[in-house]
Amino acid sequence: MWTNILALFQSINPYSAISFASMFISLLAFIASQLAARRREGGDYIQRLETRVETLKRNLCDAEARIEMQREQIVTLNAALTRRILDNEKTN
Amino acid sequence: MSFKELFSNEVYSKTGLARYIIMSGCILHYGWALLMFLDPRCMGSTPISGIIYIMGGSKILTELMLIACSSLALWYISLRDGATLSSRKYAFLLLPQLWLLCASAGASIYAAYKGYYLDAITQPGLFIIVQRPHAFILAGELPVIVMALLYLTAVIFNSRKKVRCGPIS
Repeated sequence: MWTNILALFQSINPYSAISFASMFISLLAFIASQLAARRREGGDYIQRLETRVETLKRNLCDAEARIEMQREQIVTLNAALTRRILDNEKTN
Repeated sequence: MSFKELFSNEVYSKTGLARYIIMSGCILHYGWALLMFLDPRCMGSTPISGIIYIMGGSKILTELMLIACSSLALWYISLRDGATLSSRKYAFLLLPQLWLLCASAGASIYAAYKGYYLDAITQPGLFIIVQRPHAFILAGELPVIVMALLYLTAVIFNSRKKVRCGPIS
């Protein structure tokens, strides 16, 4: 069987084999380049998502700080309003 | 720098190696086309004979194909640094030249394996087959083989920078 296979390979025109092999290698190179490009794009996509998550976290912290500041302002204004009402009742 | 780092995206993109590899392939093919135009006897040389067989033995077609493929690759080099291409355009610009380089490298490897230069086959009866040491032929044909390998790596690694794919599913 092996001698038959060897005879088959030897009967192939070497130049035909070379041209088919070079086409096949070019095709493999194209597939490999596509896989590499998709892998890079996948990595970039993850990086963009991570950056977006970081930005959203920062925005959340800023929003929480603003809420806390406004809460303090509300407390202060409430205290001032209560004092004003009590003062008005006293004068009346 | 380790071997793995040498092929990392950062190093490969920063140094722009692919550009020079592709340019050298273009110069090689333009040179072959010019030589074939000036003296058709060079068609018997081993690397060129692989391409001529693919073109059906036609000198004019081989010259045109060499010039066309090199011009497409030069068009790719002339794109600005940040430009990205679709997969089809990337393949259209670079794969034809890779195909020709692989054909030349294949013919060189075959000649080294057989132990004689292939002009004895391309012009039967005109030349006598002279057996030479395999290393002798391989030493002479190694630049073409290395060129094809470098071009192959350039096509694969440069796609990371240049090819824009569809949305990630």
